[in-house]
Amino acid sequence: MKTNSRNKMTLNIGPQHPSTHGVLRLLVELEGEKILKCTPHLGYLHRGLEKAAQNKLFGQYLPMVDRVDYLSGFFCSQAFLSTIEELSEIEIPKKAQYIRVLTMELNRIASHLLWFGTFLMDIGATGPIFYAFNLRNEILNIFEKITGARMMYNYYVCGGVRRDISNNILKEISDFTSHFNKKFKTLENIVTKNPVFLDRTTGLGVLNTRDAFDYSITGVNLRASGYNLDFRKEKPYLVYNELEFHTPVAFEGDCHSRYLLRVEEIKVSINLVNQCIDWLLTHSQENYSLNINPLNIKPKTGTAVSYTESPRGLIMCRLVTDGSEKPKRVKWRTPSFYAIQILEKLLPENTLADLTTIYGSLDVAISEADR
Amino acid sequence: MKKTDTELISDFIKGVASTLVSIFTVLSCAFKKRATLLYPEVRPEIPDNFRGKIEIDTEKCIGCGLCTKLCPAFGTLALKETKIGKKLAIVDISRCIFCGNCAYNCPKGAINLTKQYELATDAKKDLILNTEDK
Repeated sequence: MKTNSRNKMTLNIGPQHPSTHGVLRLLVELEGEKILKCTPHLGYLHRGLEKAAQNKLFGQYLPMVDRVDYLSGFFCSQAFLSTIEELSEIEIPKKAQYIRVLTMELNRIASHLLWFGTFLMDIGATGPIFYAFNLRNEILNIFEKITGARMMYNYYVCGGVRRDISNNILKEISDFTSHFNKKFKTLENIVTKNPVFLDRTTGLGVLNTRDAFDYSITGVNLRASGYNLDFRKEKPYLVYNELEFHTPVAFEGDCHSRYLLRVEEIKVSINLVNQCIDWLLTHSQENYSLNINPLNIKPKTGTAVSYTESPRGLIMCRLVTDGSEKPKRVKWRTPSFYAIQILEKLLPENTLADLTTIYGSLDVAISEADR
Repeated sequence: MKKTDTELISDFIKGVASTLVSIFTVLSCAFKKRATLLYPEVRPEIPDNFRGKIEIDTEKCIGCGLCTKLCPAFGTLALKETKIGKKLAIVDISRCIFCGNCAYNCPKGAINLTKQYELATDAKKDLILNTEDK
């Protein structure tokens, strides 16, 4: 903390701070309580996942991909595998596609529930996080049964998924989804119409569509600003074009509309999960994997780009290969990296107490931004 | 924009109503089933597919080295010459990331994923499984 002049002060927040759910460092210039300027600093969670790909086999790199964003590992696996499958000209079985969509949508709910808890924790509501984590725990238990791990799944393989989902687990998931809305209502009862919550979020951190475009914001943060861009509909991958769902859009662009959209998106995902379960129950005998030996993954020379709509926005993976068994270059385009940059636009003219509200509403995962 | 008196009153009533709803919701949770487990007395049920500490079946291992090729954490698995001529794997659990790649791709099924997850220790040698010792 240092004083520049009589009225201005530069405050360092982070890199380890309870309200920066990762290791983000913000340098904030203050005048009294008002923020004049904010400079985000990155790189405290850099693991070199792009460089690490270059000296690993494709099969060897796959377990590491889950760690790009540990809160939504399935999306990163899907982004990476679809580039390999495009270059190798593999079409994965329909059942594997449905299983991937099912697990990804459950993962989206789990990620949004974690955001729900931490966002309210940022505002100062310490209760809802326990309700949210309790619900999320049920999803993680399901993942543990399907994949063997709670967060780092290593479940998607080239040409399908690692193992089938049994009918018992499908029944368990459908039990969960049928009770979910009732349980989630508890969270909404506590939060959505709470006068303090409304006061702290309505009209705060307004992001207009123009700025969102300039800063390459995607996902819920963009849709809350009034532009409907959902890559599940824009460039449909897997079986999304066979499923019926709508993309919620809001026009206010403030913290409250971002909150409402994420809550709405959880309900859309529950609907998608139910559709997948219905399909999987009627096609239980189908093949779920092409059983490709991980040592034999050798995509043709070329470049492939994949688009995946993750809970935080658009994840793009660009893979360059030279015909060998190792990738030549892997580039990750992760949405949180752009969401952090917008802080320098959103924070000025707001008070220091609103910093965590605005930052929390953007749903940033530092692991993903630094990778 | 300043709010009129009627708007303020309606906001006040809405605020009181939502606060009462939330208090009622929170209190009703007191009669629900406990969400946490009293660990370590009560332990969670571990599913069959769980990826815990790995174990090597030396009888089955043929020393093909596939596990070492596919392991993403360098230095976890290593091959070793033994008296019987076989090359058997050594596992350094402290470097293992529990991805299960070795077990999933072992052609002979010599690597098992156990349900052990409490691996904390104060000596590093406890985390190194040397199959030769057995």
